[in-house]
Amino acid sequence: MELLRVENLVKYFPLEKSFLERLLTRSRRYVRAVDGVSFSIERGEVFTLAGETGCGKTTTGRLILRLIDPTSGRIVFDGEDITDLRGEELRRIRRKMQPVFQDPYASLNPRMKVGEAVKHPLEIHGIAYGSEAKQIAMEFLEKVGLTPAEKFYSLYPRDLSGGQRQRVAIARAIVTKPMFIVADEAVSMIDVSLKASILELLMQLKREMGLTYLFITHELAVAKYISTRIAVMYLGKIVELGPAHRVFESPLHPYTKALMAAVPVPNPRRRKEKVKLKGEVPTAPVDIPPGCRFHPRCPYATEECRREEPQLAEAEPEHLVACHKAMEL
Amino acid sequence: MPPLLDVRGLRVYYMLGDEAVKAVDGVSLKVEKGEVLGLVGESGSGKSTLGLAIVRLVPHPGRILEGSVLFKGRDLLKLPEQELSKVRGGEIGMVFQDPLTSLDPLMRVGEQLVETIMAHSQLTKEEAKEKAVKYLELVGISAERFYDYPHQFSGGMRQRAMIAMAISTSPSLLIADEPTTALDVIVQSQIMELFQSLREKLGLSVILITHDISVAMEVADKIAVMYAGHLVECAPSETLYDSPLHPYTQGLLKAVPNIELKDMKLVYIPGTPPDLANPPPGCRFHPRCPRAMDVCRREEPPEVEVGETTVKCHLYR
Repeated sequence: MELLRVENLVKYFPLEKSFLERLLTRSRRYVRAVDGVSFSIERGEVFTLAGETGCGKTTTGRLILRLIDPTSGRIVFDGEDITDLRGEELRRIRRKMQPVFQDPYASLNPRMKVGEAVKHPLEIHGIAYGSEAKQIAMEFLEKVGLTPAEKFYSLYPRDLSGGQRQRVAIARAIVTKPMFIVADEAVSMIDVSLKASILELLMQLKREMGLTYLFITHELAVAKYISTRIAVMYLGKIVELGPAHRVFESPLHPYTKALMAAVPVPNPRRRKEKVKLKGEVPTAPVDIPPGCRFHPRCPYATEECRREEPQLAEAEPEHLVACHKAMEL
Repeated sequence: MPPLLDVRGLRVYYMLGDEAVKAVDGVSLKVEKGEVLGLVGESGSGKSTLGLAIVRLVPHPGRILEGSVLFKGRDLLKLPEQELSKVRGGEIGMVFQDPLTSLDPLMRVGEQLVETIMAHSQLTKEEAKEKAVKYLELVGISAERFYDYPHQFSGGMRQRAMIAMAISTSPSLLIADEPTTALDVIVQSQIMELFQSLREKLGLSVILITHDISVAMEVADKIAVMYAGHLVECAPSETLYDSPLHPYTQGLLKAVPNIELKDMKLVYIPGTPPDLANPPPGCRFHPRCPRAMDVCRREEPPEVEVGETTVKCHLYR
């Protein structure tokens, strides 16, 4: 059963023009952060959006959370078109979908006791107040492993380690009993000895509370451990989408292949020959190459790739790729 | 032959009021000529402080209390500041995580390089420029970008420029602190390849400081693992991978996500690293150690040599 569907989602950010440019030209230039993205997420899934800096994965997450408005496209959540919701209606939806961000140092108010931070959403959404809200907040501190909850309730973020802060951020996200969590680089800043403990917590909460995750990450090795399906983005578009085990075992898009080959492996004997890629992703996708966006860096690019943009199409059951050459490689 | 760098019993504390944060607490370490040493640890393990202490750049309120840093036979900790500043950025090059804060945004990249070269040599401006172009090309930046400003460079190119600057004074040791942490994986692997080729072409020794043991495993000959201010294990990369001895190293290797493994089990080390103002007595890892014994709670473990490995653990006494 589908929980979320995005259709042809687009987000362009207008570029600031210099004074001279303003005098000389009327045309506006845009950063095409998300440029026509479609996918759906099933209930109970861990759907991962992966890619490098500037590929549009975070913007996609923010669009879905309705923190920013799309330029065009549609977002359907729990059977309802939420693309244009405003005010009270939007708040009703927000209770059902919650974010967990990367930096637990930045996402918690340093002057607020962590217990209060967890209690806050309950009051905002009118779920509980006062001592009842406090009781619920304690329950959730316990649920995320911050025990004894009485002790943690009155601590400030500065008293906690990075891992503990992220647990607070998670408690705050789930305290309103949402059905959907957007976890944007939620474990990227966590030290490796603790990373798995946060991932395990996320998975345990998923089972206990019947959650669905959109997991946004640049860490492919982490994505492999938890994803049911994965979509790889490049310059605002999905280039490959499929069941995680298929995409990891036999990636089809040359970009996915290069990306996976570049991930360091903790084994000194695996200093493998890597798929060599020229250049870097432009930091702000303004001048998108014609045809396939990846063609200037692709070792297999042909004339067709320079001319015509490949569409995301099924290469094997449920495994989609946007590449003219995918089947030949 | 004596090692290029021989750090002995180094102790660096940060003095905060009446507390001392024991960031580096009795660390010994050797780097041979032409060797890449991966210095691995999690945040707060002391790895960056160690890197800075080698060239006496520990920021206030940090103090080097004890130890020696023998570089080509001379103790850098005893060198007068004037002589040390010739070694720093000269015979020892440095590369940090964020190239944007290390490059002057108002100066053309090529000119910054010329300035560095001239500060550490007797070359004329013309000669220095020739050399600057050569080093830019060596790190993969074409000569036509010489007059670009840092903001016109991508993240990867900025880091390449920093590396060019660090090697332009013909150092014999390069200390690179998280040089690829701010970069995407594809660029990271390009930079790592660059380190490999520089080592081959220039016979450079490198201390690669990183939180990512996978990165270290891919390029380092030898890996030193730090935990809570102590160097807990040091061994050739393959030995460390095949038979890690310290329970912390063992836990770390199990906790690293590995994109190539089929067996998807999430393993982590319970607990959190200690507060270094009040480290636990005995072995600093004992509160999290699955094999902790009585003695571990009481006595700081000695450094024991087991084959090619040096390990700081009571299990191997």
